[in-house]
Amino acid sequence: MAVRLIANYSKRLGLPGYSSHQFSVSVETELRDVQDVEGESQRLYQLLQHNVDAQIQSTGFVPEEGYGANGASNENAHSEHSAESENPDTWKCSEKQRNFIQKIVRDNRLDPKEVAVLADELFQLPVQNLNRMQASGLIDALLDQAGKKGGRK
Amino acid sequence: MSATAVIPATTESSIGPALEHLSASRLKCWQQCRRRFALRYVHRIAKPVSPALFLGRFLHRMVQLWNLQRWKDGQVSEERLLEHFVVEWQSMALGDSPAWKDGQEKAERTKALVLFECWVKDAPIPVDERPQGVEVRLEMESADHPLLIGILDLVRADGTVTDFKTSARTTPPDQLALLHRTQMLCYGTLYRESTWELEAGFEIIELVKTKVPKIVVTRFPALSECDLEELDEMIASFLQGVRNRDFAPSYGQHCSWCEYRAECLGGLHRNN
Repeated sequence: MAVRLIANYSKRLGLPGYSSHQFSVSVETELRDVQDVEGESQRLYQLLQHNVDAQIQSTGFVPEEGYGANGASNENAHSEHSAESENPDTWKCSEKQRNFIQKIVRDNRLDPKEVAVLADELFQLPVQNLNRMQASGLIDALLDQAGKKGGRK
Repeated sequence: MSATAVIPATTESSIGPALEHLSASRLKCWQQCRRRFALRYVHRIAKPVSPALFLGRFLHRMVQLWNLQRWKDGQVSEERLLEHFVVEWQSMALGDSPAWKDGQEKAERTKALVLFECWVKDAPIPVDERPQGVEVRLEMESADHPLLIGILDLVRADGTVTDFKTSARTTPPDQLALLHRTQMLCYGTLYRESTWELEAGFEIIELVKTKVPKIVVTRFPALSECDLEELDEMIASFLQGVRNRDFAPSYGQHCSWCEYRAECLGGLHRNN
């Protein structure tokens, strides 16, 4: 009977601005020698740790202090907001939410200007600048307008 | 109550729905009694709504409408809210409604009206304070666990995560802190993930169904790094238990109000 050994190594590191990033790697291997569980575990641990450590050093996008703050509490945050609102392809919410908002607009033949007005009324922000929580609130309001509240999954 | 109800067998494939997503209520149910969790989320045995739960849900909905109205209109119209009161009660009663005894529905409705009028009169939140969100659904994806979902009752202007509860009596703050700890851990994490900001703290607002109804506000501080680690451990333990199909019962005081008592008692009768 084949004996399988499953190993997983996960690491989460804190980043500035209350954010964090994490990475995990899992492997499954067949043990050649069932007596060597300890040795094989040690080998896999070192291998996985080495690989996770090598990858997690790349932090990707890290928000600056004040990122996402309403009213742009510092200059950097302000210029970031302005830049993003000028680029209609950059949205702060998740891709899933962006697609959902666009689908509601399409399916219900809503005027995108109305959506912008609603976002402004609720959050005083352009749609593209809504964070994920604000986008969720906008989706509810749009569904409510379209008379479909309760159908959200 | 029937003592012949049966606890179904659990197979590896039947646990799928229980792990579709995570939520504070799933975790809390698991922590309270693993068998109750299995009956509710694995076997999906539906149970009728109790009058107390119906009243709680109804008041929750009315406070939600109060919050939405002030958010969108900047003010609250008592007249419109009272119209909503009638329509919402009828609409909810048509759905998941309790098996009312004679005159019980009328009595509960009167109780709800008195409590809601108390809310409108003494609401501890300024009407003109703009919320960040009302009944807002937040999600967090992770490589380590299924999607974490939470629906936050209210996020106030300063980032305080507020939850509304209906209770028969005032709950001491220490007890509230423990009772709703799992929810606070989940909601705080979701708030941070969704806004990239730190929550200002938590607030539980109790609508207390005493003879003279009252509103009690209890505040709690923002989460610490240790709190976040506790949630990670909580989720890991939950996932391990469900995947191992560890659905052992936890007998105790909470059995008195558990909706699955018949299933548990049925098991005891067969064993004796």
